[in-house]
Amino acid sequence: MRRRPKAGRAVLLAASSLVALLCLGALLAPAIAPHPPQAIDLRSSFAPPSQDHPLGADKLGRDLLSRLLYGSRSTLLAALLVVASSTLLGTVLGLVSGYAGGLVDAMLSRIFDVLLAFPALLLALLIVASVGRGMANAVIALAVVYVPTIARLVRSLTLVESRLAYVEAAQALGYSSSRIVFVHIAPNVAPVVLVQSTIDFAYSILDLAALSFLGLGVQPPLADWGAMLAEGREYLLFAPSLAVAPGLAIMAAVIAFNLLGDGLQTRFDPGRRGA
Amino acid sequence: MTGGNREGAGRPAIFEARLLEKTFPAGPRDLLGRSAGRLRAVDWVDISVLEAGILGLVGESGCGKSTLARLALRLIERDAGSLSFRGEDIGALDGRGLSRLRRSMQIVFQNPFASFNPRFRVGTVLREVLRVHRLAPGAERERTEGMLARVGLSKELLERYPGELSGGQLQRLGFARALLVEPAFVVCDEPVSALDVSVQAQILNLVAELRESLGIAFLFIAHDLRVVEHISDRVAVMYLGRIVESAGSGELYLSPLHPYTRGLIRAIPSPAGGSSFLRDRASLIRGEASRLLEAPRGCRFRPRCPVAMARCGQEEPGLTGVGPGREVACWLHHS
Amino acid sequence: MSGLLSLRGLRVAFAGEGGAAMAVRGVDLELEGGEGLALVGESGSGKSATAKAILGLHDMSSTAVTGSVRFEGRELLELGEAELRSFRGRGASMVFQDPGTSFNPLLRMGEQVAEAFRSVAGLDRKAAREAALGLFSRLGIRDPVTRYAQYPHEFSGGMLQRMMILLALAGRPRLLVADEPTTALDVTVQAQVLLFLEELKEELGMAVLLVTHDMGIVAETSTRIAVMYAGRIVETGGTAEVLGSPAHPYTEALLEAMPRPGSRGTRLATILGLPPGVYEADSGCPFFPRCRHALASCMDGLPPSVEAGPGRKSACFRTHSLSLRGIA
Repeated sequence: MRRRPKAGRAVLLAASSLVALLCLGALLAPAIAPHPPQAIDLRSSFAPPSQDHPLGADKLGRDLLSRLLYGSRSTLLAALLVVASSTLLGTVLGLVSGYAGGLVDAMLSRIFDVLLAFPALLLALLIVASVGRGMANAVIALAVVYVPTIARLVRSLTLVESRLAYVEAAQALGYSSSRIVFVHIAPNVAPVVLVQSTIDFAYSILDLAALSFLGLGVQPPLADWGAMLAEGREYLLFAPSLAVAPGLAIMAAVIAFNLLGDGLQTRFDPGRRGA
Repeated sequence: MTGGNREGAGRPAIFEARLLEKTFPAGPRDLLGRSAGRLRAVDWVDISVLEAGILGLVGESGCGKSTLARLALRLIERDAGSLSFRGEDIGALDGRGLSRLRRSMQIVFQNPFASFNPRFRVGTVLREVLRVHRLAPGAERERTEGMLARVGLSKELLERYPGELSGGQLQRLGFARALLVEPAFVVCDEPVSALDVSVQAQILNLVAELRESLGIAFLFIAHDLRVVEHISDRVAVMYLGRIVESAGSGELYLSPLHPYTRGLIRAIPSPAGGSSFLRDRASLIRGEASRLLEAPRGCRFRPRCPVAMARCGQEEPGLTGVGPGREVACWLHHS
Repeated sequence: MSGLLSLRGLRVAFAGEGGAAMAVRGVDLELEGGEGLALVGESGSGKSATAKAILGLHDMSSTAVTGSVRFEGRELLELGEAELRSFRGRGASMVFQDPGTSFNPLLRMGEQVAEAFRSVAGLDRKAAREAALGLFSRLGIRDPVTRYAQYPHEFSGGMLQRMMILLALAGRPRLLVADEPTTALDVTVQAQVLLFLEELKEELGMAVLLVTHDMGIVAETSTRIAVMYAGRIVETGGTAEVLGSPAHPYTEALLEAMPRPGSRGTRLATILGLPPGVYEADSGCPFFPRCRHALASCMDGLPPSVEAGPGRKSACFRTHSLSLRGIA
């Protein structure tokens, strides 16, 4: 039992380094990318890896590495927007639902149930299909899809916290409900929410890539991992790196954020109220 | 009804509850999640606490004593009955009125480890009380330090987190937090049952001292009869949602009238060895209290009562006066 | 009928964040066959850790148990896991505080009881079922066949604890270790369970080591008492003698802190301060900082356990010069 924190720390370190590397690549893309991501150079069409194109070039001769680096910007930014908005909204709804109880809780819970009954991607597809394609709409769609998961989690944590004597004491001391919910309960559910949103980050990268892959997310000629994967698929036998490279990038990002979530969980989990 | 004992003669009641009733959904649920039965947690209870008095409330787990505590403070809402504080009906207060009530009535909880937000330092916990109620503006530090001293804690604790304090220290802190709003009436819900005997003694002494020096009245709830006997002027015994006997503390223990009270006192393991229940096996109450999902036919204690009569199976006895300041709900004592 | 259990210099240390947490710091204890001994102390005194060490229940990967635990002459600390398993239930058994968590909530009660009979008493499936039904009847459970198929939450706490006790005794152990067996129960139910335990003790003639914090329970159930403080036994002796006139100041302080008939309106004596932490090294008498009778010389080393009357011992430097108050 005592040995686990050490392993947890190693995972946390590895995951956060990988995440840091991804973010660094995205931030420094203009400085380190060998070419502009949209620069067409038909002479280099399907060029194999070389000094000039470290990972080769695509059909239009655009540099694959540059497009990957720039693609990480849109992918990570979009995922961040999805997670930030869904976490914020989900947390508030979950807190209110869990603390208020009664009719409010019953209604919100039913809405969440309905949303959760759809497969996530299908629901996102439905939303994008009805409001139109494009990166912004994909982000909104996924944010909506992710709200119920967070909200349900926060609701159940809030129910547990509400029964603790410190919440009762706050009520007895005449503190307002909003103070009890946002000042007292929220910080105590935050660690679990943080873990969940880190893991959601990984999933939303995957889902965003899927939407782009289906042509509903980022539109050409902008670079995006999912869109690149879709483009590269056509030449899978002829120039496999065009599909494999964005595929590996997606995988690396998903694993990194998943591990970070796991690592944070073991970090926060052991007996907050123990001791 | 429960007022006017010899100890408190002439003193008015600070808190009164009349015909208080609270049920919770319980029992098997149907397809829509609705429960068929209602657990009768508090069932027509009258209590009254005198100014600067200590009313002890004793009973076994599930008898409704903690529910009663929360009803008294309106932390949960009653189904029926009335509540009054210094003669004012507090049952209908809302918003501002309730906030004012919170300054008059406070509560200290059983589990000191769960009673504090683990993320706030002790100083923050105490200052928050003052800020919310706009008390002692500009003098918060002096007030919190003074209050810590009052309950016997050092001011060095202000910078600590609750997780760094012992159970006894946390329970003192619970009193400090409750007393900051200067309440006149404090409900203690099993404040010592999570504590060791040496720490328990400190808390009991603190309660007695607070009553003497500040004139605070207490409703002191516990399952330990010796603790309740030690601290209270009057004691009410609760069984399955109802008060079955109430009397001055000394009288109750010397001559309990209700068969349940008698059995309860007989079951206390005695360190003096004199009244060993192991040597007097016949006097033990058998069985266990089961939850009441519907109004009982007859006396609710009858299934466990060693002296039940025919009448006990037909009608439920009400709480009736049987002498100065003594009430009992048992057909044996109805004249 | 002598020398059932003998603890010598028993130490238990847990691997903690601050190093080795010394829960038990050298316990010597003797228990005769058929005897009732109460091990008393406040939380953190090491009483439960001592009890668990007797049955080898500590997690050996994070706990160091040293010293000697002899049961009928056999050294238990040298037994392997397989030998320990066969010792538990037959040599000695243990009952824990919370009967609600001692049973698997997802399995039928009757099957759990029958399973225990099969593994400990070696009965076949049919005989185990009979034995379980017999046990239900013995506990006065009406309609045992129906109740056999019910789940633990459908039984009351007192009933579960009585079942736990009977299960612990299925292999006819010579010693039952009961760790706060009634602390989670109501006082009227506690009385019934203690009485039940007492009747079984008379019937089966096993020794009982009762771990408790309640002096009342000690007086009601045990002929001998051992008082623990900060991982050591500070006083042992006959219960009536120790409670009537304690020899160790800690015993006296514990008794005086208890509310009792007639204490109303008086201040209870309290024990100031806290016991030494589990990481603290010994320096002088561990009770010194809190002791009302302490002298400067009490800081000179650990007080040895000395004779304090017939069958009595006390680990206090001033054992023979103090006259302490007990309860009449």
